[in-house]
Amino acid sequence: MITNKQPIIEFKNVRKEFGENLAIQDLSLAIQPGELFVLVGTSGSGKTTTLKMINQLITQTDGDILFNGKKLKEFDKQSLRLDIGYVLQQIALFPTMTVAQNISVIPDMKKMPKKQTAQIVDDLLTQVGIDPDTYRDRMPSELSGGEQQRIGIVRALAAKPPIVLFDEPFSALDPIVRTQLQDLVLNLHHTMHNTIVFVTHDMDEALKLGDRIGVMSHGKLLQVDTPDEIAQHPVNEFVENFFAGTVAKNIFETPISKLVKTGYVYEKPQTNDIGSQVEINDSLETAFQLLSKTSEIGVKGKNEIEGYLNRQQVIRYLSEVKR
Amino acid sequence: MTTLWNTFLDQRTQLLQALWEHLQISLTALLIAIVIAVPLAIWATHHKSVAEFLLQVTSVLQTIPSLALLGLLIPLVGIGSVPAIIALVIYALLPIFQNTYVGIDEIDPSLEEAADAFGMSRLRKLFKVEIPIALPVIISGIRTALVLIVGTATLAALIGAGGLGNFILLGIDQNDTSLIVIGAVTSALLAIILSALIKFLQTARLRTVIATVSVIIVGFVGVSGYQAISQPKENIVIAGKLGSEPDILIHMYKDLIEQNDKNVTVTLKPNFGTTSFLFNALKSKSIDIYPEFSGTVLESLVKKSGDTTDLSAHETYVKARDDLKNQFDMAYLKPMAYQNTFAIVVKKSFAKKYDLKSIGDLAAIKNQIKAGMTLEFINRTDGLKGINKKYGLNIKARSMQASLRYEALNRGNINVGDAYSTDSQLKQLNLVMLKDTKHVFPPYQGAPVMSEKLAASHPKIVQALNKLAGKISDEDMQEMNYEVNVKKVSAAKVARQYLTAHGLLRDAK
Repeated sequence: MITNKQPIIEFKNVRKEFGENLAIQDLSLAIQPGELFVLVGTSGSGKTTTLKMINQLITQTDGDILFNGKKLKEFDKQSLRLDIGYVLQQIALFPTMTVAQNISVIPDMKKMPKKQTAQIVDDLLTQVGIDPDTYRDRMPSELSGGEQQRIGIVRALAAKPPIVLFDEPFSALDPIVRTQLQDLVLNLHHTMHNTIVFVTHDMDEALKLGDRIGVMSHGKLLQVDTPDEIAQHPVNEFVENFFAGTVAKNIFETPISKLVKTGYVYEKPQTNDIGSQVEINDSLETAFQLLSKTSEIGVKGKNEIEGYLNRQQVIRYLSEVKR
Repeated sequence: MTTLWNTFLDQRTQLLQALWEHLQISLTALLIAIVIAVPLAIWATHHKSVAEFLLQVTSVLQTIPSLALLGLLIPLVGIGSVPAIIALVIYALLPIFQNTYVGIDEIDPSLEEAADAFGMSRLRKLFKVEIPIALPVIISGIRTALVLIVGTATLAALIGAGGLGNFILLGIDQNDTSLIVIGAVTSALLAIILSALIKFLQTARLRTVIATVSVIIVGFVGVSGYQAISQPKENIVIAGKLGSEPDILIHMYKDLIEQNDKNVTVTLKPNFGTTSFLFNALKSKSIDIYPEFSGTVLESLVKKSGDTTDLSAHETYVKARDDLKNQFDMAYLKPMAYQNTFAIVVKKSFAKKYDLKSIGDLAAIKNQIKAGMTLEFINRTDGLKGINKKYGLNIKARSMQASLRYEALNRGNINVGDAYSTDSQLKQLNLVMLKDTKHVFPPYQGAPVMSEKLAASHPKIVQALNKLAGKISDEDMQEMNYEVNVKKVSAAKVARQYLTAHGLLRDAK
């Protein structure tokens, strides 16, 4: 995943103080174009501050942030922001505007032709599973929380910005809707190939979404790595505990996707005793049932086989996950 | 109910005029208040400490009693609609400022953050996000202000700005409930209708809003413009004190002047206020002419010079004329015949019971006296002060508005009151005047007062007004007051009847 391309966003020794309080100390980080980068940490870790420095809602006290190699300070703030999508935890749809008007906010500022904007609105609504004819002229207050955040995501994407920021967008939603929207983000990322920086306090969400994950605590970036590296080789006890703390209350409910992300699933079969397949969104419970019949099973993703899981790997996962 | 309806039919032209004035004053004040308060509040949302200060200031302004505020404005900007509008604007500032400020300040910070993050400029954010969200709160502030303005604007009548308050003041003065009800109900209806209109505009589409507002503005400009163009002649403003008598007199003035000088039109401002108020208006040229009593000139208006006690009616007039000329450069034209004077009155039955004939007789029943008198009378040296001094009495009177005092006398709430000798109520309520054996009350004669300059430049006006010199007897005046106050005939009609009957008008128009 790490390439030699020029990073789209680069933090260089960035420091942020709020009055007496040190929020970020000496943060350096490079985010690659097309990457889905997740910042994860507890509250007060500085992850949201880091995110908001990218679109300059918060200005750093010291250090430089580069956008495509050019210092953010040199950009006109308003035109810079037109190129950075933003999805908020509070959703924050404008209550006096219809769904279509909300989505058109940035295309209108970019002076896109009305017809083209209307087309984009309809296309994107369809893409996130909302019927344009029914919902186009509704007010935000008429929508459910999940529907509202779908519109929030569409609003951020409407002008096809090269980079989109997500600030804990799903933390206020119920688990079922959250899972749906996580899948939606993965889908959209897959089709649009834009860069996403996603902030969450939920390690499960980070593991599910992130191409790479940055773990933050007390204003410091502790580790930046792929999900399986973080799971297998945490740099310190904090990261290890943070990861362990995310284990589902009932271990049987752990999704298979988590084992895929954290590196317990092999790309190629290890034995010849391969039975039926388990869906990537199924739980460990299903895997146990299948593995009681054969020693190895296939893991089926959306369209293709993601890999193979055997009894030994499952036992290893269980033994390495701390309570 | 029939009286109410008849009064309404009788007064509908005046009502329409008053309604128009009321609407003009109210809407002008509201527009000015919006133009000041809304931008100020928007600016203040970015300056919290200033906002707190401004909220305090507007709250304090709100607590000034409206009557006091109007009084304070008179020396600064004179009388008429200007001080009325200023006062109304001051009252309207708080609700509009407060609601605009709160409406914008209480917008969910995440919406502000979203607008910033999407790259909106401050102006775009204001018009696309902040104002639309705060609009219902702002509009409700404007509606509060409007209701406040329309209600308070009735007080504008006190300082000569006209409006529906004229009906209420006149109604109180003439003890005519129908007039009060008509004034009050019309004012309330106006507030309700305007408030509903604003509510409608809030939900209407932008195009409708612009159309409606344009129609209102064009209407205003059109009517005002028409009024301006349609009055090419010179306009003379004649005002009169509160009450039927001055009202009748100024209508006579108008008829006589307009007959004599075709280049002049006369605008009347009846029920314009009290003595000092009218005199100040004359000094500041807000009005041109008003009828005044000779005794009042000496007692209240000019600086005292020499002894004024025991002067005859003619001597009083001459002294008043000379003092006005010397001290204020004003012309005091020839007086009419009737002599109006203060009087102490009691009910006939009361006089009989205690055998009261003169004021001195009151000493015998001083423990039974319950007196109610006008504030002006109580404080004049030729009023209650003089009576108490000269007759050795110690009457303590409650201050009452003139017609309420008659009402109290009639009901027996008080048994001694003051009066003018020409008041129609003396006849109507069966009251008797107690003789002023010690001549405390000077004999008053009425005559028009105006500036020397106006008198010199308009001999035709002087000539016209002098036709009334020596006319109108005590009985005539009492009769005419009775016609207006009791029989509810309009002052204009009563005035014209008199002039025609006495050959002062060549031909009735």
